[in-house]
Amino acid sequence: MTKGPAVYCRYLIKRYGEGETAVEALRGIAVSFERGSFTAIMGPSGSGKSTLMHLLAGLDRPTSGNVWLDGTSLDGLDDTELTRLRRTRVGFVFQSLNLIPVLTAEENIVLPLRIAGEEIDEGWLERLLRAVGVEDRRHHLPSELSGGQQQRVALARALMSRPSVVFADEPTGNLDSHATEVILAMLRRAVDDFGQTIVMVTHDPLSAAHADRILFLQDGLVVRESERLSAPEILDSMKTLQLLI
Amino acid sequence: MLRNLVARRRRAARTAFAVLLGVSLISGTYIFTDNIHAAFRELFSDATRGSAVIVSSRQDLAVRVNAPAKTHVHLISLIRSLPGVAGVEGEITNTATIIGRNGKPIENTYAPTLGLSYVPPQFGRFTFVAGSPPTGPDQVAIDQGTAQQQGFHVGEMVSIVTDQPLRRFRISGIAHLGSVSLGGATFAVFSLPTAQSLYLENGRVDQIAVTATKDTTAAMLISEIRPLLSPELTVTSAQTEDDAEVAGIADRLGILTDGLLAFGFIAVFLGAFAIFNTFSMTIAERTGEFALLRALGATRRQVLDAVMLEAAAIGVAASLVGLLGGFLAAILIRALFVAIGSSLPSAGISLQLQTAELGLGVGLLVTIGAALVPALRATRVPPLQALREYQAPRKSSRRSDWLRSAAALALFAAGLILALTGSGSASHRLTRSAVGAGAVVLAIVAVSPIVIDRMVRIVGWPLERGGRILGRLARENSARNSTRTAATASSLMIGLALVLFVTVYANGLRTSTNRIIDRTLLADFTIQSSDGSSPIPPATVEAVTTLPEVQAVASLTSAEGRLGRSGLVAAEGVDPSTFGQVYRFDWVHGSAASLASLLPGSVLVEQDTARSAHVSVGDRIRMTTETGLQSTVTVRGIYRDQALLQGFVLPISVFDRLFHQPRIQAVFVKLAPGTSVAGAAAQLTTSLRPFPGVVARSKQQVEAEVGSHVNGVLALFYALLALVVGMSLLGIVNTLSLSLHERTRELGMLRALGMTPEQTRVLIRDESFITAALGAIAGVVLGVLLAWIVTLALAGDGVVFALPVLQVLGLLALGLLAGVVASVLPARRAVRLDVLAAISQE
Repeated sequence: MTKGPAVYCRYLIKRYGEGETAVEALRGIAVSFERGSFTAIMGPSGSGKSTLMHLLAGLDRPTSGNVWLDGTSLDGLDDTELTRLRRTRVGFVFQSLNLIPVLTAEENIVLPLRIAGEEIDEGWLERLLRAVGVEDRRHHLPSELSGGQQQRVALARALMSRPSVVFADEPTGNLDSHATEVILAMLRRAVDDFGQTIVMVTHDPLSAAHADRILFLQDGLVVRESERLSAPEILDSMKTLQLLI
Repeated sequence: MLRNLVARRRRAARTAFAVLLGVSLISGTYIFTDNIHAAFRELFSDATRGSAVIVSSRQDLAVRVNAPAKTHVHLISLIRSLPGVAGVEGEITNTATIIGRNGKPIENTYAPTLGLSYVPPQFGRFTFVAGSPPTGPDQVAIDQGTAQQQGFHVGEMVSIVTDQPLRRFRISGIAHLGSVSLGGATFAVFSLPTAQSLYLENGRVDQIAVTATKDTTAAMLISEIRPLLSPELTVTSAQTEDDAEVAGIADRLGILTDGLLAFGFIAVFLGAFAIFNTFSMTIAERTGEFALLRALGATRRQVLDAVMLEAAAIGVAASLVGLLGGFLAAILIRALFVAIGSSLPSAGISLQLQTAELGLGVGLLVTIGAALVPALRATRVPPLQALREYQAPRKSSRRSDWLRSAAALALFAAGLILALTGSGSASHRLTRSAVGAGAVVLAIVAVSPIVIDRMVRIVGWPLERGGRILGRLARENSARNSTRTAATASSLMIGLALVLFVTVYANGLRTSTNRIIDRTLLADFTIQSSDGSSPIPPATVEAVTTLPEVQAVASLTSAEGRLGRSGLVAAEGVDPSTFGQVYRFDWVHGSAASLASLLPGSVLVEQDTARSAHVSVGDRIRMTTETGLQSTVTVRGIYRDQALLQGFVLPISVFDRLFHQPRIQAVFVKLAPGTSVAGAAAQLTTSLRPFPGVVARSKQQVEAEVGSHVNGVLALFYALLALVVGMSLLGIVNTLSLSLHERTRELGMLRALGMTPEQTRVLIRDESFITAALGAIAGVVLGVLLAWIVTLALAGDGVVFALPVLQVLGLLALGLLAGVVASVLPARRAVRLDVLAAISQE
């Protein structure tokens, strides 16, 4: 593994549209995510937090500025090269419908590696299955799993390739409070036990409270950055920054 | 609800396209045939315009009218003396082949080459555009089309073959018949005495045209003329004669138009699959919408009405456009005929009300019918569903699967039994086996959704080897909605099965024809027209009889007639004393003695005709000529021959007396023992030089010629089948696009997880390939099965089952390739998919 931050960016600007109707989603962002850190990106809808995540993950291209993922500059990579990079260096957990309905839990977990045509580390797979607590449901189809179980399988999938960074986009958005706690605890353990780098986009202060670092985004800019905060402190910050409107 | 349609324009358009194609084909067929009928009608009424009544023994103009008739000129003077008669004119209608500038005869397959006698303008027929009517024995007027095509001018010399060998005439004028295009037909007009010397004897004519004075009706003239006629002559009004001729053409075109219509209906039937799929998918996708409607208080009935209204709108729109497409189809069908070497006359193309009604009706009914099941499913969406996420429809229960399988099996068995147990005439057994084959197809279609899971697993297996996850995904996706995959594959299956059926059947037919010719033909050479079906001048017989190499010559004369209640079949006239030397009968009941005892009053009957006429040896039966003359004959023998001597055989002496239009179809030549075949061939060719368009063929060449006729028909079928297969391809594209649309988010996720654009393409190609492979394999198996069923039903007639292995493999490959091709567009769209938009979609 190369030294330096897992992912960082410089002068990131993302503009949609042209001329007068142009909208700047990101207006110049420079952030860095250290290896083994758990960062939450917060902000109201339209603040640019999802856009930032997409750019960092190589799912979209910035208007200007650049992203370095595990030391590799994303500038100038074509679609296929970006895809290959994502396969092994990036893990994803989306809000919902994470899994391919025709594949079993285990098949879903190894899917990215299979697509990449890479070897499956069976020991690691077993460990992950146990860690997310679905080892007895490994041969079930997603439709036979609860929402929480589905997200846990998705998390295991994100971790399977030991990526440089896992991006979690509102991973608990569709879950009840108990399942939410379980997932957040698992994200935390992935960071603590496996040294995994995680970047989580969320608007929920309770979720963000599990992170080591919190970035507050507003109107396409990082308006505040702080170390670990409790949920009430996060809520306070949001109030002061008028991020709740 | 209709706003939905506008919103889903692209999809609605694709659904509609299937209906549109079917309606186009059906209405196109009707427009095409209406147009031909109109053209022929115009042609005939132009030809007979002015005449009130016609005394005739001629057949219709569309078919060659060829040999001598026996109306005496003295009858003309008798008629002229009748009150109410304004004018009387004898006419001759026969064949004449004009030789082109390149020395080759000007001939167009299926289009007549007419030799006519000149009649004055009041009797209709000709309009001269240059020159004047022919007068002397060396003058001729030719048709405008030929003159233009060949650059012939008035005053030039031109060579023409009539019943006499090649002769040169001076062009006196250029004329046309009425206002319609003759569609490849040519004519040469001679003065009446010249025509009589060329075709008949002096003083004889084919028919007599009579015009009436102002206050005399055709009916009055007919009642006056009828008592003057000998029994073999008839008198009809010009109007009735035209009608009869047009009806005769309708009969001949009937098989063809029936075939075209059948394809139209198959296209509509396949369209129904596409509609069923599209509606199923859009309705599944809109479950939330229906649930919301229900939650807001809509009754089931209202939901049903809304969906059916949508279907009706698609049906009407598609059928209307389909009717317009019908014009295009009509033009294409005509082009197809031209492509296979036959041209037909044309009048203005028009849409009959009946055609419009049928097209609209079929289109609408099929659309609504196919949408009904999905629509009923929409009504079963409970209001609460609005609050839940969409879930894939549950698989049908095991119990209903069993019921369905049992029903399909019963249908399959019934179809087989029906197909294989027929008796009676070939056409009866053919119809029966066609119905049985239809039942077999339906049974397979019915059972397909149940077995498709397993089939997908088998067919998709090679794609998954080596643990290819994409292959596995493709397989699972294909199996995910079995009904949908089954319907899509079924339509390809039916298309390919039809292609294969036609191929195998035609192959069997050709093989059996060759065997028949091998077994029966003793002659070393057969003299016939180059197209194999046109009559040849009687003078050819004398031209070859005198050759020293020749041991025996026997001619075969043909016309059409009925035996008892059989349909119109070929009637053949042979000379019993010589025919046995060139042809060996394949007797079912009878022996060489039967031919020898073929005296006037006896008949030999081909097995199939015997079946449909229900006669056996010794029976007495009434024989009717096409002009309506009747005679009672005794059956002396029953033989098998579906290639050369179909129908029944009469002694030539009787034949010439009863049939007014006998035509020499072929002259068989048996060489003397020890003669060089090559030398004889050269001799024959030299002797036939005065008869351009007439050739001497060896046995192998005769077989090839008969085979090439099958090929011509085959080409037409293939063009239509290409359309059907194209439609099923469209079905695959449609289903694939819809299912990809459903899975937009899933695809986006796969891309985010590291699936490259190339892999996306492979995944979609694999899915398409699986569906196509299912359809292709099932289609090939079904096609062979159908061909086997039908040939088995016709085994008694010598039709054999011959599997063209190369074509079967080729078709299979074509089907598989089709799957790959069908995936190109949907895959391209999926690759262009915006990953972000896909995964952000909630």
